[in-house]
Amino acid sequence: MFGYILLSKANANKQETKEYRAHYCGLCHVLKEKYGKKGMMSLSYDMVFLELLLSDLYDQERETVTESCPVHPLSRHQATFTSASRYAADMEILLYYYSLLDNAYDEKKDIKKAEEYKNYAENVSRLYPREAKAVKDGLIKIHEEEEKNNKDLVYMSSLFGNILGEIFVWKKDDFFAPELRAIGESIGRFVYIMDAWCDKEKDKKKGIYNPIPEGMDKDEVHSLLLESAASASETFERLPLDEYVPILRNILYSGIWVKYEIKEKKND
Amino acid sequence: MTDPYRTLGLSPGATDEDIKKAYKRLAKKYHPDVTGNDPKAAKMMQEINAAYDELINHKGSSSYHYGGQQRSGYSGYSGNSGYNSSYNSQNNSYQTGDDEVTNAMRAAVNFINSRQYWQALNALSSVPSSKRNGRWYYLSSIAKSYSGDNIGAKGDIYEALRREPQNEQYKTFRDRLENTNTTYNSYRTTNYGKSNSLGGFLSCCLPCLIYNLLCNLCC
Repeated sequence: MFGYILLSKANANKQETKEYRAHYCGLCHVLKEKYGKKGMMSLSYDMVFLELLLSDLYDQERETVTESCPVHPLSRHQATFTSASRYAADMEILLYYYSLLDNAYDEKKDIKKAEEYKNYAENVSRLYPREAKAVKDGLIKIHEEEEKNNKDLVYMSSLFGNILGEIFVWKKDDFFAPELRAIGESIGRFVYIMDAWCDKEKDKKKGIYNPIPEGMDKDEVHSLLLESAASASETFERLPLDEYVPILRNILYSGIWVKYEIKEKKND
Repeated sequence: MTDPYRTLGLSPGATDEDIKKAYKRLAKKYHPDVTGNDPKAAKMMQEINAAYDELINHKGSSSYHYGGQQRSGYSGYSGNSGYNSSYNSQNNSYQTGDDEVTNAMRAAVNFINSRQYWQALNALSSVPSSKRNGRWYYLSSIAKSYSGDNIGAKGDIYEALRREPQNEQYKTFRDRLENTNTTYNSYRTTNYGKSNSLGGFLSCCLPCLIYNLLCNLCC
């Protein structure tokens, strides 16, 4: 996906960083196991957050392996994964495939690459029809609105929020499904706005669509981001979590601002 | 309804932390993932969930305490019979717009009570704009807030208050919504003061990115 929902290393201690990394590598491990090298390429931080959240909430049993990966063959590292990693990996493939398709439409690139992921995405869609429908319909809707040059940023971000809301609901009939949906909704909005904000100059240069309306200033964008982050956190704090709370809090209160702060610094 | 603290094996005044721990401990025992289809365990789990909902989601504030099916009732709509019975009895004479509005609003309350916030919004959307009153905006605000749309929730509660500026229930809910950002910001500045740098997060997985690039080239 986009990679905005990540740990702030500056604000994490060694243990937290190590654990986070083990889960990142765990998701990578599962992606490789299920989808080979192609799967690994879809890996993103955002789904590590979802994996940690679901593993904690539903007390998923964890497996840890020590392995060396093709990237750094000399150093062995830990990879921790759970059933939630498998779910997150499937969702990752789904989102990745549709984002490739989107690129194929928009900029006439990735057409061949999208073709390579088609089978994987179709398999995932059979296993998770509810999520697949949300992703497909949602992205089509976003695409249509972009074509119309819709600049209602809140509305546009809510379309992406709906997609993540559905994806965050792992078990549809579970008691905490509404909370997970709400967190996904808020985070989806956050990601969409942040992505638009980070790409603003680039899109302008290229002359392509960007949802941030002309004249909307930094403070307004910041306040929309804050609304979403605060809303996600408020719901998060109502969940009975006990395993990864420090890491998840780090992400929600600090990590998700990492890229915003970096952009700030660049502009200064 | 039984005392929610007792259901969770706690004494009154237990902290949120205690409540969450107790919930987890009991869920490990009674969750359908563990017990399969045991009806006794399922009933137990329902009670545990209801107790948790009461203590964490509706803590101490009667103003947005709508009550669930198991609770004695919700504030604000006292004296009304349930949505279902009134809906059925009015089904035959289902022409007047006002009944439809009343039914839609009742449906929305019931959906909120059973934590189905999207369905609540759906029910509310059937009420034409001209018939939307302060209470309509209040319910819409609640449903939006619990489905992760704080911006929409704020817009609606302001509209509710514009129509009924003195309503204490609406004011309390507005304050709650407005507090969300303040709480978030103060927690953030107190605990996460260190500024983030590019090196901080890239170093973790720069190798993976490079690997992806390479992989991109060769396969």
